Amino acid sequence: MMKLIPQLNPKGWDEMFSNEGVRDSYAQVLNTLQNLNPESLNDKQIQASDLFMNQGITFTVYSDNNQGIERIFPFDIIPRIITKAEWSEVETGIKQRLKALNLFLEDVYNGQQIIKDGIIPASLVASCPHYIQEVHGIKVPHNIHVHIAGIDLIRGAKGEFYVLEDNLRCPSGVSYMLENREITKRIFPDMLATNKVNTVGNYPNIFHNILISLSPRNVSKPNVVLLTPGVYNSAYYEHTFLARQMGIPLVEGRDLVVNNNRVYMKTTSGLQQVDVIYRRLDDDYLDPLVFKPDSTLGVPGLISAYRHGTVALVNAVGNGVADDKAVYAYVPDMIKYYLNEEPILKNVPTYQMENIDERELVFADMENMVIKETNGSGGYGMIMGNKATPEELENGKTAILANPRNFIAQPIIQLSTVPCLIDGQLKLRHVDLRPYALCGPNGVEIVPGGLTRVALTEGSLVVNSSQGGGSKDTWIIK
Amino acid sequence: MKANMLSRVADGMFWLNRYMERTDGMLLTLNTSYILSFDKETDDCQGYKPLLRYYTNLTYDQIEEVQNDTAFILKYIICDSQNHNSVKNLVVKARENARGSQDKITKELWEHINSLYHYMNSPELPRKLEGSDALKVVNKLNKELLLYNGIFHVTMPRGLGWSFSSIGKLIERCLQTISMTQAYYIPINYNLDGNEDVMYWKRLLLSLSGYELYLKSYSNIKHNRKIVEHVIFNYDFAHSVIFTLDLINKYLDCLVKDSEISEARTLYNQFGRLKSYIVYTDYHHMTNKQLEEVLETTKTQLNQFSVDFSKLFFSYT
Repeated sequence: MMKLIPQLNPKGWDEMFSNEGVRDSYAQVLNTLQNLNPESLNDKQIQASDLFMNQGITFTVYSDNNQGIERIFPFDIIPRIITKAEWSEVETGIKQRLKALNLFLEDVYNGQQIIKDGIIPASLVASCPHYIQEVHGIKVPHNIHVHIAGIDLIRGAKGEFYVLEDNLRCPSGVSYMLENREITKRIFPDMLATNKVNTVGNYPNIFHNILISLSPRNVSKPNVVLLTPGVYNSAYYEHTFLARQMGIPLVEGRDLVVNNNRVYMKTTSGLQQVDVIYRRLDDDYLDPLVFKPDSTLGVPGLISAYRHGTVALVNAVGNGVADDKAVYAYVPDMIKYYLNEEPILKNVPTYQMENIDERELVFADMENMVIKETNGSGGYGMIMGNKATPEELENGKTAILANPRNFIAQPIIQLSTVPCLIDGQLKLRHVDLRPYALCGPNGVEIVPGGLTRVALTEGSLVVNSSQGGGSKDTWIIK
Repeated sequence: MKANMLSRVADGMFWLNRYMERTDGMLLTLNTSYILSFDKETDDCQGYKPLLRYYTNLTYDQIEEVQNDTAFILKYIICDSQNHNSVKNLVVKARENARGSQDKITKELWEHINSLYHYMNSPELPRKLEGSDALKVVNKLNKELLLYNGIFHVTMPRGLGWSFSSIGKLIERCLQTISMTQAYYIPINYNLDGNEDVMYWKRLLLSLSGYELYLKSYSNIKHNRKIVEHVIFNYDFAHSVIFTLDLINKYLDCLVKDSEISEARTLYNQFGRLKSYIVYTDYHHMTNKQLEEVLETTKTQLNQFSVDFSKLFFSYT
């Protein structure tokens, strides 16, 4: 039996323990863990890593001699648990948010009433690099722009949920949500059943049905494909996983051709029209005739076909304007404007570096701020004020002053912690949560679960996998 | 429902199986030569030469130099990154093709290829080939390839993917059979009336998994002509030329039937002529010269068929 109660951070929220002891939701899990000796816990951790490796759930790191080394994304075997009541708040909050964001995208690419009414500054939208003029006025099926969203949530010192950012372009990681559960089934077969954990396994079916419903052609079996950048993309495993789970072809740009404003795939029996493309390719690479002319990943003429309404793209083109970190600050206003409701999920306070007063406020308190690029992702270009050197802070200020629109600042929030098995012991590590929401003609559906990302380095608040983060299985218990 | 498949994926499945079949044949040949090298009573004039000539790019002089260096050959064939046809490189290429067609192959098949890839890339593998563990490694790899074939047969759905994969496998197998047969007939000038004993042919037959069937099927006299009958014309031998061509014909039939491409019929006829060349060859009265011609012509025509097949079905770029 191992010593299981780690030292708690008095300023933070731990999901398993309170000052009074273990929380009710974790009692059974803790009991199971207490009945296992450290060796068998370690064995389970190794077993999980082997399962990931053998299934090819890996990414490749290239060394100087061009020898690729396969690595897995670290998986911690101890699950993260969210109660039914907590999940209910998350679910209704995300549904509300997505409803508003879809209305915003429809508005901003058509009448722009929200700008005319002075809710969002026109300059903010116009200066957003992901606002795509080329798709202005396009009518998308059912007016849905965001079909799949990954909303990053964190918990504050009292356990309250905040939205950290919205991912509305090509949110990744859903395969890890599904695979983490499969691995947990193998290493803790009894624990899932006894804890009455909601299933996440129907995600591919729900998503597939939404994709089919978006077909512009009224045919019994529309051709739905998943467009991947190719085998060297770091998320390629996820692309193959989802294509297989939904039973749809996994295509690359070179497999598609546009003829007479229709998209076709090149098959062994000739060209076949494609109706819906779930693309895992950023806007910039979709069509070299419209965006990056040197992109070989996309399909020449695709945007033209999209404009003609002969093919549906999932997610729609141009969604980046709604998940821009500077626009993020206006999402609560969007909710009030479009829905006449108070936001259920709070935003993290966000300072626009374009605003001189807010910028001065941030510069005076840089050590307690996190500086982010408005269009960055994966934790790249982020400055954690409490970890940065004076030189890094100065460089940050210089960069902000050179292009203030490109940055926002947020106060550093101590993310909640969950115990992780590290070096054979339970240690607290910070986590966030990315639930995946699916929007179709029948509304928003969120499978009860999500991807819990863990900052594996002690004290770190950066959970991104590209920065050494790992993941956990996330249980929503009944 | 009309079946279809992406040309790129079909190409990937075709080459996945060609590479795996090449690996299988090469390992079988290596295993045979390696084990027979322990037996000093065996007529060892060929040694590793057929293996090195067909499966590597080594020059004639290089082969002469290394042919008795078993330790070098084991490493060169199994895990040398510089050898483009080493097991390691072939598995890497097979895995790349499997990755590109991962949504069309089964999870079981993918996981098997993937675990083989990790085994081939394990840092301790070269060291294992240095000592007494070498035979264990070769045996393990032989079994992994057998298992691959088993998983392929048991889990893969029949359909277009199956047909493309199988044609890749069978073209590769047929070319191996022809080339290995040539390797044993060239030193005896294709002499069909010669008196080479069964020990001479044992190495060829074991390399093609056909030794036991040969012993069961033929009387113990005048092997030189019987071997031809066995490896080229025996419909019951899974590595014979006629067996592989017959199966290619069957899968090609499935593809052409489903294809709307007019050139598909032309390709089908091209293959029909190739197969007929073997089917209507009278091997009982074949001369030495004719044997040489049959093997060389079939190899050339099969290579041409492979190129034309790829052009027709995989021209996606």
